[in-house]
Amino acid sequence: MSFKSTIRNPQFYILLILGFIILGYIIYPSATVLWDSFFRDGRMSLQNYADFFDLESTSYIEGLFNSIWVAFASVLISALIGVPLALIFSTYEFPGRSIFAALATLPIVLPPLVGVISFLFLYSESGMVPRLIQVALGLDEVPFSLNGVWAILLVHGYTMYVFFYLFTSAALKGLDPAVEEAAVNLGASTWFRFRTITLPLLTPALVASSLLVFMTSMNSFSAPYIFASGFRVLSLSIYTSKLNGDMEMAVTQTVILSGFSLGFLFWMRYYESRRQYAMTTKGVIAKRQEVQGRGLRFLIGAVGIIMVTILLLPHMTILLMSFVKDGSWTFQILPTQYTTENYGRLFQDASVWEPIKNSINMAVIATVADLVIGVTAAYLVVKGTFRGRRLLDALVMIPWALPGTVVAINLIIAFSKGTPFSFGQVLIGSFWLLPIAYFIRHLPIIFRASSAAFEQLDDSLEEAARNLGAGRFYAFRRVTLPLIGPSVLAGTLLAFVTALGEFVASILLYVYSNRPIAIEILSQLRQFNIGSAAAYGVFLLILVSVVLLGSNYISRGTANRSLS
Amino acid sequence: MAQVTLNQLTKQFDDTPVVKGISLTVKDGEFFSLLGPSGCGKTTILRMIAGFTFPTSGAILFDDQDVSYIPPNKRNTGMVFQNYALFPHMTVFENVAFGLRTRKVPKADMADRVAGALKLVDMSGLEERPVPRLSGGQQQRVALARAIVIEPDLLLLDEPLSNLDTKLREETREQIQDLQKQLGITTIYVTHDQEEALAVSDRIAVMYNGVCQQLDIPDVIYRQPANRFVATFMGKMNLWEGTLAHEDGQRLFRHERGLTVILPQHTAIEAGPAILAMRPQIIKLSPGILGQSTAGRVIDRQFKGATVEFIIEVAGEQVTVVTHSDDLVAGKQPGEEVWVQMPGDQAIVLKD
Repeated sequence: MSFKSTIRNPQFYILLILGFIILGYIIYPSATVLWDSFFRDGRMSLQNYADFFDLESTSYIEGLFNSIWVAFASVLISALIGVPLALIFSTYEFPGRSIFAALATLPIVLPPLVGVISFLFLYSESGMVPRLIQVALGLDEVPFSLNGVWAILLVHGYTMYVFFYLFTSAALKGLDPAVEEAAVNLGASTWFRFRTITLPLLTPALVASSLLVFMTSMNSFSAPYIFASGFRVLSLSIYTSKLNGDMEMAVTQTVILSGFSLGFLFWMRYYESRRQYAMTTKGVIAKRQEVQGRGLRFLIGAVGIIMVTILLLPHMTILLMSFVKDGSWTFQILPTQYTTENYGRLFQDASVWEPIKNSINMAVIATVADLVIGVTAAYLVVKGTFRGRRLLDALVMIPWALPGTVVAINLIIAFSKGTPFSFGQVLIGSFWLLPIAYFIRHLPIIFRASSAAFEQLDDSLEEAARNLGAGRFYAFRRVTLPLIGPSVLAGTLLAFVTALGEFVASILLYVYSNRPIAIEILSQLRQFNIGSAAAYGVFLLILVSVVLLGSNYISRGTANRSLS
Repeated sequence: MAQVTLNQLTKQFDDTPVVKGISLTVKDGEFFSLLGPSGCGKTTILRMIAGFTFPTSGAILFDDQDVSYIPPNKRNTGMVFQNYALFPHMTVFENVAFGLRTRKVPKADMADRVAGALKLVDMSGLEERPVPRLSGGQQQRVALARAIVIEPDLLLLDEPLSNLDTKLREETREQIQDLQKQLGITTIYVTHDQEEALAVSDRIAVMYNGVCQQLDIPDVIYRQPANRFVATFMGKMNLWEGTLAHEDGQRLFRHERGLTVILPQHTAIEAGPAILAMRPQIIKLSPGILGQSTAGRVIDRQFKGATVEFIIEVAGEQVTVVTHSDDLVAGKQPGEEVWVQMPGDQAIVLKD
């Protein structure tokens, strides 16, 4: 393309604007942090890294080491829960199967902090479950209580097995039953078939979910924040270093954690790009094996009910707590005084409503920006005609891998002085850092949803509309928009509710005047206002559930309409 | 090799009967086809023989052994699936060797047998190719090799040609037929394509609605269909409802709108309501009166290369007639007059 035709192409100007935003809010902050990590007391040196990897005083490297082994353990635990569940639900047919299969995804509706707090109420030293067992068995002390690394692992297992469950279920659904039948026809026993056919075909899904869980665990902040008590992990150490005013170590830790996260991001993208076997089948319906026999059905039913109870306990706990009168629950197993005033206050007391208002304001700002930038970037990446589309794709996806702590530290460092990207303003201490953090963190959600929609959009549909006499705008409105709309809408809603409940970046970036819901939950909890804290939690929980149900409904609608 | 006997075989899915008491015997070494439209129960029978579903009642015997409830991996049948069901994560060699691995065939032996099977299907030299990189026809042949390498007692083919294009279908069909004759392996072939079934089978069971409508050699199925379903399913057929009468020592079929066909003396059907069936290619057309013929008019003409297919109006009836394209009347256009001769001696009289 010549220079002349380049500057006449509108794509060029849109790319300029996109480039400015990506440079300013994704690359520049990371680069600043990287640059700063090579300075100690104003002089360029590698001392920060030397301190981190110091084998004499191991406190920093211990955090990294712990993060890594917790991540490995989380992968293992999540796989051990998620994969068997997926196998059972897609292999056997029994009463209530589809309900259990849907309920198994329940942990994803818990916003990060809310879920961790439920575990605190349930399993900590003063939690309901240990005390119930103590009283039931007449013990002097609670028989167990969750704390430290075990609590972190439990929370991780509970929230992250869903990745394994969903990925494995999807892979099993895509598996051609005739392939398994062919193996049996050729004489394979059940175990031989599983080992030589099913497992190898599930490998892509298993590797993808392992990478995802590993990354999520490395980046996990809420569970260590509540439960760590002396157990160091890297993501939390960044926060502690910042609190202690040791910004030099904070940026160094940020760089190291980013390195891991981005490494995993690119590993995953590489893996996905060469995912091998497209199944050749069209529309084969997998036949589930009917579970025969009264005893077996009863057993499966019982296991199912126990499983669902365990899965639902955190949700139930938050709901129950939201009706507890503030300050009334002290040493009893279950709270004794219930009230609806927590909810009443939510809507009547302006100071209680304020965090919600703040969160909504900031989430709206961030989501609108995400929508505009995300959809534009997705369109250019999928349908654009310029070189460097893959680079744009990779750059927009970077924040997906970056932990909230990293995004926050990046912004603190980048906007502690005026920059062209903030129109010369210092943003620290202002309202704006937080919505910017939400914007950055959730941009990949809308981008992914939109680019998936654009990829499915057959160009010939728009051409057919044009051929039938539709103008460009009419074709877009009547053909393109209805086809990509549902997917984009689902992504937008997801980005919005995720921003509403955001905790990790918030805790590093909030100021009192824009304190979001998650921060308020934490401060209510510190004042032992359990009911108020839980009421906020339920509010978030309901919003997230509604959005997920809604987008599930929307995407099912599109799936039914698409021709294959 | 084995003989397969189905004894009052019945299958219900959720109280809906799909296969209704089928009894038949597939002889040792026979190429046997289950032919019928989709939903007729043919695939369900095949899956019961393979062992993927168990009969609701009745029995399946391989020779004298009742295998009705034996798990599929213990039956020693080789099946070719409609979509081939090749293992996508394995090479051609690994796919073909799979059944030998489950049978714990020694390594050295295995290589020889895989090579032999691939040679039989003309796929030698492609052993290390990953299966997603094969064409449809090649995948088909690997599937066939995979099924025969285990030297099964029974070869089961579930619409194995339906995913191939027309030309390839014919080639592959001949290859399957040759292979079957060469190995002498008892084969059960499921298809909805009557031409395919007529071409390859020793015997055909025509299925409809879970019931076997007719079981015979291809010639008889085609020339003497047992009922209206078989008559129309086996290719284009003119059907008329009317009455059979014995008049003046002649046997006549009279259609209500006046069309009359004289049937041969030996037609052993008593008088009364009947259906007359006639293949389009036995009806003769001529430009002028010729023997026992009736005047008709061309309604529609379709040129098909070797043949021409006419719709002719005769005595208020629309009749389909197929002639050779070098026939005298082949050039007749819609609106023109032709004379139609209906050879009663080749007509088929059906009671229902």
